[in-house]
Amino acid sequence: MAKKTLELLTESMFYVLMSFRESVRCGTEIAEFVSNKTKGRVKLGPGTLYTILGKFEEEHFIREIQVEGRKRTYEITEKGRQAYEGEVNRLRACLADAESEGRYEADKKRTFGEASGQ
Amino acid sequence: MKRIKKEHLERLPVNENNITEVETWLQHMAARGYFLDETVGKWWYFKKREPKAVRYRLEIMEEKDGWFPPEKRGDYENSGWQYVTAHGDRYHIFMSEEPQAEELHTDPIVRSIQISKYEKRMRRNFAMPFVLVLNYYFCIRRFLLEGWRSPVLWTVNSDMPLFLMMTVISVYVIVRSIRDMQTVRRLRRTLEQGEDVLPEEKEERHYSAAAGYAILGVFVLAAFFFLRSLGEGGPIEQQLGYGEKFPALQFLEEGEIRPVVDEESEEPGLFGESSGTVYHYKNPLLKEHLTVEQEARILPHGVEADEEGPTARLYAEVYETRFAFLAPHISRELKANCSDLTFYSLPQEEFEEYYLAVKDTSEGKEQTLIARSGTCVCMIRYRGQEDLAEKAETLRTALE
Repeated sequence: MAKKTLELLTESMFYVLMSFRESVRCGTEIAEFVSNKTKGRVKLGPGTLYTILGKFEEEHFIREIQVEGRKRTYEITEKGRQAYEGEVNRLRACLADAESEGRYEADKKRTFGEASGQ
Repeated sequence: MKRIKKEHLERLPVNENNITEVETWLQHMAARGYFLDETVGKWWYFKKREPKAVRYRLEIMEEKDGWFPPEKRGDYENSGWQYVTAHGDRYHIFMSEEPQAEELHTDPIVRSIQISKYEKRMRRNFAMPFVLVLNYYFCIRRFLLEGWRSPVLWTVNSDMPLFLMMTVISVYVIVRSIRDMQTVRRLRRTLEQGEDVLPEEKEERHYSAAAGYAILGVFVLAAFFFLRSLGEGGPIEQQLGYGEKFPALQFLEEGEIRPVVDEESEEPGLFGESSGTVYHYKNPLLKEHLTVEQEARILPHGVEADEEGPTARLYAEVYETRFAFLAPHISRELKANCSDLTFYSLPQEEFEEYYLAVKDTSEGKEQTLIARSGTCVCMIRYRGQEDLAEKAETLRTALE
């Protein structure tokens, strides 16, 4: 059976991938980054973090570059960067759709409000 | 002063592949003051402490050797999760005494990735039940091929209790494997839908390992029947020396019985220093079931030991049933199994049935005798100088 590849990134996957954009990181640094970036909104349990790292390594989104004592450091790959950019674009498109839908709703309200003399 | 036992051994009362059930049970044990120390198969060791509400979580083992990397372990501990032990090659077990510690898994979809790997591993391990099914299939096939023709002989066969046990075990293993796969699949699908699955924290349940012990009992019984089905016995001379009686050349032949020796190499024959073997088999429906195989040189009385004598061969099966009604059926089926022979019924005082068939083969005349007396049935295939038609009395003595 063919290996199932990641089609969509979950929120925690997205933030883990985001954490690698600027620098290489180890497990604790990733958890810290996600917590700071989302102001604690996105929780990242150690089980989730290591499952994501394992899956990302399997998908060649990241690669291990250094093992120093109990510290294992990873960096993002080109494939990982593309996946991240793809997800950002998808989210931008979603946001644009939501915003245009919001504008349409506001325009509709204004038009119907003027017509009824309100 | 009453001594408090510091260690406690408990048989896992829940399905080990049902992750949530195991987590719930471990929490239940901790609430009673038993904290997991290590696991050995189905036996889980606990240490006694002050009861406490703690959380247990199972992490599917991803490393092949069951090793949990220290850097991961450090991060888990920093998050408030202590490593307890590994359970075989299935999962690592963690415990948290800190209520505020973040859950090990905060993203159900990510957790479903881990569960799907476990599911794949289980699918690979499904090979074992398939081997059992295959074995079962061959047993069924044997039954269809042989059993329908001679069902009584098949039932009194020494393999029969083992076959029944194997059937129970095969069905159990297959049903359990399917059930386990379904449990894990259900968990994975729930997680994939973004719904987290956590153990019940305040669940009051009664756990019983009785079902597990029953299954263990069936396995022990199967091992017992397997050992019994192997049969026990040894060289004919030795068994006769113990005072046993059974159809053997020693009873049928007029001369002295000598083991066969290869003429060229002068090495002992098939049965070594003995002239043959006798084996006893067990079946609950039979008081006695034995087989005799013998090949010997017959030296007429008064002849020098180093002189050549004719060779005789014998194969015998004796059945003594616990129930009289079985004996005629065994006799009939034994006869039916020799469909290439023509049997003649010979009236004998000692036996209720005494059937003899003679066949000329390239190695000489072969006589097949099927005789029944009360609950005792015997079949003899004999190649030698004697006439089995005249051996009823001798045979009766050998069967006593």
